[in-house]
Amino acid sequence: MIMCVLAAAFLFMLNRFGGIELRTEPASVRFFQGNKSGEVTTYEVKLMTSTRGVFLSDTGVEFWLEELPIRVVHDKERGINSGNYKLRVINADDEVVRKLPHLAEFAEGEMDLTFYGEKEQPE
Amino acid sequence: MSKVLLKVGGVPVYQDADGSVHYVGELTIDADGCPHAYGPEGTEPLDYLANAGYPGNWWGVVTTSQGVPYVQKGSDAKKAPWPGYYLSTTAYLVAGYEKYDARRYVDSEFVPFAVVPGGVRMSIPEKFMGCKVIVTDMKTDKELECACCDVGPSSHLGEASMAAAEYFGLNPDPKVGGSSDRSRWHYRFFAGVASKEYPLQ
Repeated sequence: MIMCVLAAAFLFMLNRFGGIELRTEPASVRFFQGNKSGEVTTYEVKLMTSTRGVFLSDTGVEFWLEELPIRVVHDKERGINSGNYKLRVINADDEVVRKLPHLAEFAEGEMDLTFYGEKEQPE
Repeated sequence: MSKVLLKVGGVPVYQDADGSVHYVGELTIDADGCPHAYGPEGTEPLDYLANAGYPGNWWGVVTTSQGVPYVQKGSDAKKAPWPGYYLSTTAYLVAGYEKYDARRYVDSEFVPFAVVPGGVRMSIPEKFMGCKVIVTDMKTDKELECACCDVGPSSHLGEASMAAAEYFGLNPDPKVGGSSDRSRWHYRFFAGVASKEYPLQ
């Protein structure tokens, strides 16, 4: 079910030190990758929110956020690519594909450019 | 009186008047430092290799000058206790041992230690590596005094070694063990105060 959301942040971990952060109000998406020495943002854009709860970049990349009825688990220990929320990246351009964090092989899902994560606790 | 130093995923990380930093989180297992945590095909390592990194960004294993994971070799069982396996690294480096010697890293399987999130480590100037940590199971009030020997992701609160998990009676398996109860485990890092076992670095 595509959702309409209030201000919130969602975290999709793709590996132990890297992932995607989606914020809904104001809408933005950030890819980050780190290690034990630190973390860098590899991609960050503001997004426009559509009435259906789909978030759009100015280059036409769409980020579809969906709340799931059942939690999806691809990694029991660290929760990598796991959670109650699904994020699909539609019309990904070369930059997005190139800058997406590396997805840990043991936590791969069934569909390309589809990731699972959690909603962060409100501030 | 506690002040909020930062928030991780909306969860506060506090600093008290004595300088100690504390938070509540889960107990995810960090296998790093264990010499059979990771290995190539044909070995039976304890954890998924992807938890040690990927080509170009290996954070959990020693790499050669070519940037590939180093494979333990040789007849010295102390230097290379698990020949054929990769050599797993902790952020804490034991002085007096060279890069390709397993004794340089803190063995998660036998040494109870806590892991500091990267963002927390950078939030104050005091040293975390080797500092005293008290981990408390708030369900039983059982406490573990140990050292901080590794750095974890900034987005995650609550990580410790296999030996720490075992101390608390948890499954020490880094793939499925530990505890995912985010309200159960209290971590207090005495940054700048050396642990009993390891000097600060």
